[in-house]
Amino acid sequence: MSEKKKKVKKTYLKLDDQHESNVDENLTPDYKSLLYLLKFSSKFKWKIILSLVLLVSTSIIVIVSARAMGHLVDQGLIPNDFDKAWFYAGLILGLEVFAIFTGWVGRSLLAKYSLSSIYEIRKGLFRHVQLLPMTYYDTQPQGRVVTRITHDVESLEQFFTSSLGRLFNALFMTIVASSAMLATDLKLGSILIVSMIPAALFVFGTRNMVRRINRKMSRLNSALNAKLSEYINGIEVIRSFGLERWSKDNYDRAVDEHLNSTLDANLLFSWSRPLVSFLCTLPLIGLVWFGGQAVLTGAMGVGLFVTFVRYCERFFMPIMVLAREIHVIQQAFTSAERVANFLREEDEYVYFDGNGELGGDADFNLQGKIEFRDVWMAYQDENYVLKGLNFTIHSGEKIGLVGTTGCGKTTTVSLISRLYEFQRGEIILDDHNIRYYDREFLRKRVGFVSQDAIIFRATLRNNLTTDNLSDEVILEGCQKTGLYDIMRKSGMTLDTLILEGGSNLSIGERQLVALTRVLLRNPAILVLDEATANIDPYFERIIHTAVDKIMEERTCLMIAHRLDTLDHCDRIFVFEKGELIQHGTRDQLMQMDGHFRNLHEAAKKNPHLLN
Amino acid sequence: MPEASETSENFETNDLLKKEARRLWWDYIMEHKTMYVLGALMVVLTNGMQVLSTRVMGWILDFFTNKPLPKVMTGIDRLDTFYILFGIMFGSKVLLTVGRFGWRMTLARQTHFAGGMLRSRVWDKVRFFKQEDLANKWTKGVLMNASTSDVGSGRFIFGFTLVAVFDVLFLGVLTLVTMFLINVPLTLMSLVVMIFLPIAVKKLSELEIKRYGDAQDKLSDFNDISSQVISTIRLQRLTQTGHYWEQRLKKSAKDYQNKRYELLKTSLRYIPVMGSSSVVSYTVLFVMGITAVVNGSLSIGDFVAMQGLIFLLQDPLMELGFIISEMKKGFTSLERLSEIYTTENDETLLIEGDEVNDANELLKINDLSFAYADGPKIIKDLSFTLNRGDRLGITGKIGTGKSTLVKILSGLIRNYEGEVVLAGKSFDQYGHVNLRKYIGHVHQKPFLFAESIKNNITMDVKLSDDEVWRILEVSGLSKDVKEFPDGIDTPLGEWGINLSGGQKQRLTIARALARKPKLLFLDDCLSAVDTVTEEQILRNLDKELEDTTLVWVAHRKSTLKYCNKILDFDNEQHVEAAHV
Repeated sequence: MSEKKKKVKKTYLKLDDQHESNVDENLTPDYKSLLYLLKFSSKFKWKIILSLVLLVSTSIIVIVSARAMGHLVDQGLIPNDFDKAWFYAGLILGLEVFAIFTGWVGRSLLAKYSLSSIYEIRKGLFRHVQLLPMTYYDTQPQGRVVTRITHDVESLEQFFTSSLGRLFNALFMTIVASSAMLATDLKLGSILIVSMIPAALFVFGTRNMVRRINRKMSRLNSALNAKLSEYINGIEVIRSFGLERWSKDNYDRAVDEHLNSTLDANLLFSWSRPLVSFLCTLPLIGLVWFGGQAVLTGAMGVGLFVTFVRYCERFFMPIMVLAREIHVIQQAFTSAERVANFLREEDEYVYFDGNGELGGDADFNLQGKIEFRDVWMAYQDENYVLKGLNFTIHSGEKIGLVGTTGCGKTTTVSLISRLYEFQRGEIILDDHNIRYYDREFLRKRVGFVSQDAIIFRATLRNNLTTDNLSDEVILEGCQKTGLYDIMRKSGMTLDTLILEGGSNLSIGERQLVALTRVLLRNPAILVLDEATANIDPYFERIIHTAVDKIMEERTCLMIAHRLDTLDHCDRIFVFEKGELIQHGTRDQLMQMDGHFRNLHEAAKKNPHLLN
Repeated sequence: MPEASETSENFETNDLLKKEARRLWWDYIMEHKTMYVLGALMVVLTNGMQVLSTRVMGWILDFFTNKPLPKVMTGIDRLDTFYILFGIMFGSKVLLTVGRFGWRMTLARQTHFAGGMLRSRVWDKVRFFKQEDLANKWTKGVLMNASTSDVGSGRFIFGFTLVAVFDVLFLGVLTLVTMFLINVPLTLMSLVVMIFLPIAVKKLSELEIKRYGDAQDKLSDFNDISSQVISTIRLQRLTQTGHYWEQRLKKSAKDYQNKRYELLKTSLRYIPVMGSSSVVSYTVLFVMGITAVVNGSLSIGDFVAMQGLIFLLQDPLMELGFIISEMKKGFTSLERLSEIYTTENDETLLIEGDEVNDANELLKINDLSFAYADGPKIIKDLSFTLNRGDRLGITGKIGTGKSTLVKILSGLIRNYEGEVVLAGKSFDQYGHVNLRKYIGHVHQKPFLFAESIKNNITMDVKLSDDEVWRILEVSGLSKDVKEFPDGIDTPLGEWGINLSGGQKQRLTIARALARKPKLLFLDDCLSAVDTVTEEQILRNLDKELEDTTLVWVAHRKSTLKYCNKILDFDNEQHVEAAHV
């Protein structure tokens, strides 16, 4: 990607929604986002419902078992009824075993199908990545987009696979315990439930503190890691400037900052966690105080008292679970919102206001005539990077695009591939407005060769083409580019497995594969962006020949990084600040006193000037 | 035979690292003895109150069923006794809260302090690593992994794991003592049947850690691919290769999903393990307890208390399993960190030698030859002298050894043949910091720190803003910086501004100038700057650094027009006076 693109990107970055300063605005989690994401699990709806039913039954069984324990004391031990005691003991054991079974199976099912649902969400995200317009990627830092498809989904996953099960369990435990308490003794039950409110309020009230401190910790942690990585990368500079001391001081400062945030978290948990536990025992304390007095006056049986003690223990758990998991839950809501927003982000179809139809059927052919009529283009607002471009390129013409960084040459070729929309003017391809073309068709018919060849882990055949071309056709293409000779020399066949990133190929070989791929696609328009950089002299010659072959009978746009590549051009376009300031053959331009000649002089001294 | 000796050597170093790790751990604890003792007391308080609050429920039940109570708890009348019992219960809950606060603030807090210490020591050590170690053994990935995951798990054995240890110790003992006091046979039996719990938990927990590692590996693969996909999105669209990347992401996500499922299945096995432990203990309680209650040897209150206590006993037994596996994991991490902490330094960086004094004959090179390990000699029998204020130009094709020579002349590579004398002394007689103060270096690849422009220039020297601007002016960057939103305070890096290649190069020149070097190496560092600016910078440098000796490496001979001596690597290696 060119320097200019990066610069454009940085000048109007969207606000970071991960920074703590933005937390306050997002305090009310968007429940709708979670619901929106739920539709990805619709395939597994019944299986998930089954697992939830199993979890609910587990809670019910556990509560029945607690009730039975009360009966064991009340009806068995106190009246010395041996048989009753054994009956309840057996019942409790049976129930416990059953609860283990349902709980285990329920949680396992939930985990399995949650993971499957998350995978569906991931697939949706991957699809969307391919559908978003380039403008989206220009306005978002890469790291943030990566976070959407990695970290954010991870925290959703964490929530669905572990927290949700526990939470669901806890929730049902609470509901079942409350109803059981109310059914057993309405008044006492109500008092106990009400006495749980302070604990719940406390957890609810401190949730943002927990969230804020967690974010701060993770931000400082990444900063610390980034610093270490930076210093390892820059060890040469550190050494040659004697910055060992300086780097240590800086690094230790980052360590301290992170440490302080973890200590803050430690302090917060130190008082809040025990306090939640204490508040959770309020019902028990209340029970002993009020219930105890009732037992003393004979208004309440000892068995009932024991039952309520057990209920209180069950009651204690859910709030503790909530306290522990609340930040995972919150994180999940935030992540759900971000993921959902990412998925709702308008795709290319919306950005370009639909898609053209030209080229949708197979017979349509593109000749490669390009016409720009007063084209104005801005990546943002009114900052035009192309200012009224006018030119016509005839089919089969070879055009060199020249100009310093930010002159608009990259933008011009991007418009032909329909990566961006332009604001004013018209682009005409073969006498049709470019907007009438199907984008996929257009991108297939506009071949692009850059110095970074994308090579996959696949057979050579699949690397060259994914259309069903016969081996003959493929090999003919290989012969044209010279790949065939290389294959013969190194014993490669079309079935040879190419490793990831082409690691078993040399840079030159990779470039040849990419060139052959373009040739086989038979594009009408070819864009060459520094196709021969970083290649050893042996391959440079081969690749030059290949490039010449590919250029035959096609309209070619060459972004010139070195002026000697312009030797092949019929005409040269000189760009400056979004305008086409000079054009003509090389000789014509050299004779003119103007920008091209200055560039030429400058580039003689400095070969990297045009990068 | 050599193989055998190698393995025994490995064992020895392993043992050494084990010892080192243990020493590291123990020394830290001894250094913070007070905190650890206090923390242990807090755990004891917590545990005591936990047992007491369970026990008091038993007493309350006994009181309701008119069973005899310990003397201290009996008041003047029944209501008074109830108040006493309630008071004990309430008090125990309050103290329990205090205890929990206490161990978190003392023992658990050490986890974080230790984590900070471990992390700080990583860079403290790595900054002096030998270049070849950094290139071969301690690559960035390995070091990053150590400082994140090894510190992450190693720090726990300084705090949280110890909380668990004390907890198991005291809670286990207290619970057992209380249980024994209530009923000996019942307690013994419970203990016997529950002994499988720590063993199963330890096994399960180790398996869980392993599976977690597997899942994390797949996750980091997935994250790598994700970054690749996003960073090449433009190229994908231009070459219509997006489909392939989408498939790769899907496959990677699926791989991760499978590993993650394995992990979850393992974690969920705790449900039957713990469940069966409660079933077994219930069985014991019922079979023995009900019989005892029926024949009168166990009060109902004691029965209820026993039930609670057996539950309470499950926790420490389970925790025992966790502790064993956590300790194992923690010490393994500490061993890996110890390996970093005990790696040999590049001693040349630690020399505290002389300062460099100005001399007229600044650099004298005699018969210098150099070859990288098992490579050919790239510098052969080179001899020349540089005087103060000289401008030496080095030119030649890529890969002929120009940058290597610069590293030798600046004392960064010292395993050469021949003699290099700086101001009358060999490099080993100078202190590293002194040398670097004297010698400036502008690298071929501009490397900048993710800090503000100003901090990138000043680094460890103090400069006023005016001075910074003046340096920017000399290096031809002030015009650019004035256009940035925050001037010299504009940050660089991911969240800051992205400089062009030429701007980066000029900034690295400014950085070198800020330190006012007496000997400055400029290693092909204007390649991305346009010719007009280049010419201006060259002139500025020549004028500003009249007293400074300059060594200039350049691709093209035309850039070297200010040089009075030229060394051409394409021809015979010898220094000639420049023909200007």
